This record gives sequence, structure tokens and C-alpha cells, in this order.
Amino acid sequence: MYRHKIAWSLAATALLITTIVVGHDHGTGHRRFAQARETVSVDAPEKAYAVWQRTGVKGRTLVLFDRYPHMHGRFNYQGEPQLEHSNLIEYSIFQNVIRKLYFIVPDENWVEFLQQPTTKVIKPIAGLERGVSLYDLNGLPMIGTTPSSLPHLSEPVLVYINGDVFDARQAQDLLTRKGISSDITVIYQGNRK
Amino acid sequence: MKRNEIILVCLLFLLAFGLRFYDIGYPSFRWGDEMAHVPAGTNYWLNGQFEPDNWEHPPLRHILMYGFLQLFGDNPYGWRMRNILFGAAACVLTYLFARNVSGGRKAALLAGLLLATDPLHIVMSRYTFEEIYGGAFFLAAIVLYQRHAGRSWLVAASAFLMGCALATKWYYVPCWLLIYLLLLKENRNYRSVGTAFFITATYLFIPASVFIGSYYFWFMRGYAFPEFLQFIQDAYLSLQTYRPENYNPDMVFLSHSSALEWFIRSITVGQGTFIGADRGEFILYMNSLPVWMLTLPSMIVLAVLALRRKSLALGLPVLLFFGTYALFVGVKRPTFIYSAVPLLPFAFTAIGCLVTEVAGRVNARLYHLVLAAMLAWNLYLYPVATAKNVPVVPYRYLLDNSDAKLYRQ
Repeated sequence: MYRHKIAWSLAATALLITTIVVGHDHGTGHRRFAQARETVSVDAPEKAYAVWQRTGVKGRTLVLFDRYPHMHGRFNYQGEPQLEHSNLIEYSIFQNVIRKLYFIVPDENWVEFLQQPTTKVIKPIAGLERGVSLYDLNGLPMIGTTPSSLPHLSEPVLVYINGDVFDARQAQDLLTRKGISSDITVIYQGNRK
Repeated sequence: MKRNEIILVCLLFLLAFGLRFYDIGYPSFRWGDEMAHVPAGTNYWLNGQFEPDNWEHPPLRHILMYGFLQLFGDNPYGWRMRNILFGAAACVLTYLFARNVSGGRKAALLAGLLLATDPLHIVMSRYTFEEIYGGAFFLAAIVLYQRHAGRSWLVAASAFLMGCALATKWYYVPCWLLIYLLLLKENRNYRSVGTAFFITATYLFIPASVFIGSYYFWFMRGYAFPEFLQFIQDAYLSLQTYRPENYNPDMVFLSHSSALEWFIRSITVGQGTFIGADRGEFILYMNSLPVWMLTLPSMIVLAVLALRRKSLALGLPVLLFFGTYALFVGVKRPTFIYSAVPLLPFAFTAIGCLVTEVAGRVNARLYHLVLAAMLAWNLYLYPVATAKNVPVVPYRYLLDNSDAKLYRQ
């Protein structure tokens, strides 16, 4: 009944495989890592972006040791975002520096974190005692977790530590214990309210 | 198709296009969802970002938006021509679908004209709603399926268009799988391994390829394929968490969030402004109840006819209608009136078949009478769907009973 059905079947199968391979390669090919490992202290959050820009990193996982009050995103879209004191993460997402985010919540604040209106949980993460999948309004995959539940990450990550919220040395020790390597670690020391 | 019918189809397209295109430059600013859809097109093409549109919906919409912005510019034509063209094409496709179902021109013409003049389809064709072009892709896939007659390339083309529909919204998943099963069932194709694999490869793999391919710019952000699978699963889960309180309280659709209402009671939402004592401009999203309320009875009649005549072709609108409608009724999240648009071609086809059947048994003039009455009603509603400056008195009862947000200038 159907003519050339073997040819059509093979072509359709090849199309699917090609699409998957091209998409995958296109994605992983856009990840950029720094040439050398570096730990940088900054006195303003937005200066972290200058570090990432200078080292050319792109398409990366960020481990964030900070507060993130507008984690769910902001409705007030006013065109392409401009880098400001309070929007380092959103700006870096928009510029494709960050593709995925691990948001570290102190263990003692976990229950409170889950009850916040900005915490829109998609699902608990299997295998993590304290870990939930979250997304911001723009579809950035975020994993909210605590230091005790942070899993090992095989891919080198970017690290951002707010020294006013987390002890930088303890955060770095935690990453070492979990076997997580980082090419760029930015430590913000300031009097951020 | 004979020359007379080609002329008829062209006239139907011109009517549908004219009703949608007329005065399209007004309003001259981005209105409603255009404020999100237009910048999202550019952001997706350049950066793989969905911002400021919803991330859960598939992104073919952004690629099309960017294409039309390039063609017509960043102006009302660039924002709206996509929907105008696809909306007009959907009327022709409805004619062709109903023609294949009924075998006659009368039911097909009635179905096509009802869609061409339907106030909800018109108002949504004048802005950037994805139900218009997604629905057109879906309908085109169905029409090619109806006409494939064993031709492999038509099955593949149908699958490609189904992929375009799936890459626009998730609405079409149940009927995609339904068509796949019907292809397998046809001539007992499932019994032959080669034919079953052909159908599986074309009707599952090609749409899946189009769907995945539409995320090409998203992959550019650094994602790998396993992350894509996770992302799609999470998008599905996220959609299920939507509740009315998650939406912007100013959203005009919030007052009606159940699909059960669509075909049995009047729904009028939107917004408008009273100008002076007795005139006003309104953009209303409404079901044309005198027409729409015939949908469910027509579906029942068509189902009975299909069973009696043992005709799958006649039962197809019923299967496709309930295959999609069941999704809207069954999901936990709110479903707003604009989601009814993909159902309309099947609803109007059933109404066309019912009217033709009854007129054939009672009086042939009945067909013309019903057609004229339905078109007159739809055209009476046209000005209040398209922001025309109208006297308020003829529409007073509609406005008084609506949930539209009405302001005074």
C-alpha cells in the first residue's frame, strides 16, 4: 500500500537521531570554561559578571551561596535587562553565562525556604534529602538544596559566595568534600542589605 | 476539485482574510499578550531565552514571530500578520476537512463560513494567540491524513505539520496519538511489521524531530539532550501547578476558568471603553452562543450517524473534538475560553453536517435560512470583537451581562 516505506522509515528515524545529536552537540559546544582556576573577591555583586565576561565562561552551572529574594523572576519586563546591583543572576542568565543553578540554603532555614511565596516547587529531587526542582519565570532550571544535601557535580562549576551570608572558607570546604571543582570562584564581601 | 469549487475556496479565504485584516493597524501599540510574545520572538532567536513569555510552552511560536518581524518589521503588521494569514488559512482548511467528512459542499461551506465569521476566531486572529497558527497546523495535518490514500509522502507531510502543532502547544498530543492509532488500524496495518514501522517512524519520529528541533536556540544556552528531557518533564509538571491565583489579576480571562462552560452558556470577557454617552470601543472574547450551543447536539447526531453508517470518516470530527476537549475538561489547571479555538473546526463541521442532514430531510431552504441567520449573528458581533467605534445600545444586553473590564473615557 505505502510506496517506498522502508526508505521513508529509515529517513524518519535518521531525522530523529540527527535532530537529537545536533541539538546535543549544539548545546554542549556552547559551554565555555576558564583557562585557569581563579578565586576573585569583589566589593559589588555586579563585578562578578565582569570576571565571568573576562574569562569568557558561557553555558555554565552556578553554585550560589547567597540569598535570592527574586528567585522566581520578575514580571516587569522592560526590554533586555541591564546589569544592576541587584540583578547579577538574571542578567547572567539572559547573557547565557548561567544555564543551571544550584541554590544553597542553610540547613536551618530549609523549612522556612520551602514556605516562602517565591519558592515554586516543581518536584522534589530524587535521591536528595533536601532538594527541590525550581524554575524561574524564564525557565531556568534551579535546584534548591542545603549544604548537607548538595550532591557531587561532575562538571566544573562557577561558584558565587556572598560572604555576608555564608562563610567563604566553609563554603569552599563543602565543595571540596563533595568533590565539586570550580574554575571561577567569586567571593562578594560587602555590606549588602 | 473543480474550478467552481476552487473559486469558492478562494472567496472563502478572501472573506476570512478581509475580516481579520481590516483596520489591523489599530491599536498601533502592542496590546495584551503582544507585549510578551513580540520581544520573546527576538530574545529566543538571538539568545535562546523565552523571556518574557512562559517557558513551559514549546518555542516554535518564537521562531515564527521572529520570521514575521523580519518580513514586516517591528510594527502592527509584523506582530499580527502571522495570525491573520494562518487564521484565514484555517477557514479554508475547515472547509476541506468538512468536505472530506461530509462528502458535500454544503456542510463544508457552512463550516468554513462559521469559522471565517466566528467572533472569537477573528479577535484571536488579530493578535498573537498561538491557538490560531497551532490550530491551523493541526488542522492541516488532519486534512492531509484524510487525503493520504496510501501515499507515503502525504503521511510524512501530515506528520511534519502535526510536529509544528506540537511545537506550538501541548493541546494536540491526544489527537496526534489518535491519528497514529487510526493509521495503524487502517487496513489492519498493525499486522504488517514493515507497515507498522513505517507508520511509527513517520508519525511519531517526524513530529518528535520537529518538536525537538524547535528547541535548537534553547540548546544554544549550553544544554545537553538529557537536560532537555528533564526540562520537558518539568514543563509538563509546572503546567499542572497553575492555579487562577498564579495569573496576573488583571488578566481578562480569569472570570471563566472551566472548559465545561464553553458550549452551554454565554461567556464574554475582554475589555472596552465607553466613549461619550452612547458609543464605545470593545475587544471582546466571546462564544457566539446561538451557534456554539449546537455543538454538543451536533456531535451526538454525528456520532449516531457514523455508527449507523459504520463510517469512520463521519465520526472523525467527534473523535477529534472529544479527544481534545477531554484534555481541557480533565486538566487541573484553569482553561480559558481562548483554548476553545482548536475545537471550532470540528464543532462547526458537526453543525454543518447536522444542518445539511436536517435540511435534506425537512426542507432544502432551511439550510439557507440557518446559514443566513448564523452569519448575520456572527457579523453583528464583529464590531465588538474588533475595537470598532459602535453605538452601545444594540450591544447593551451583551455588555451588561459580560465579565469584560469596561472603562469610561
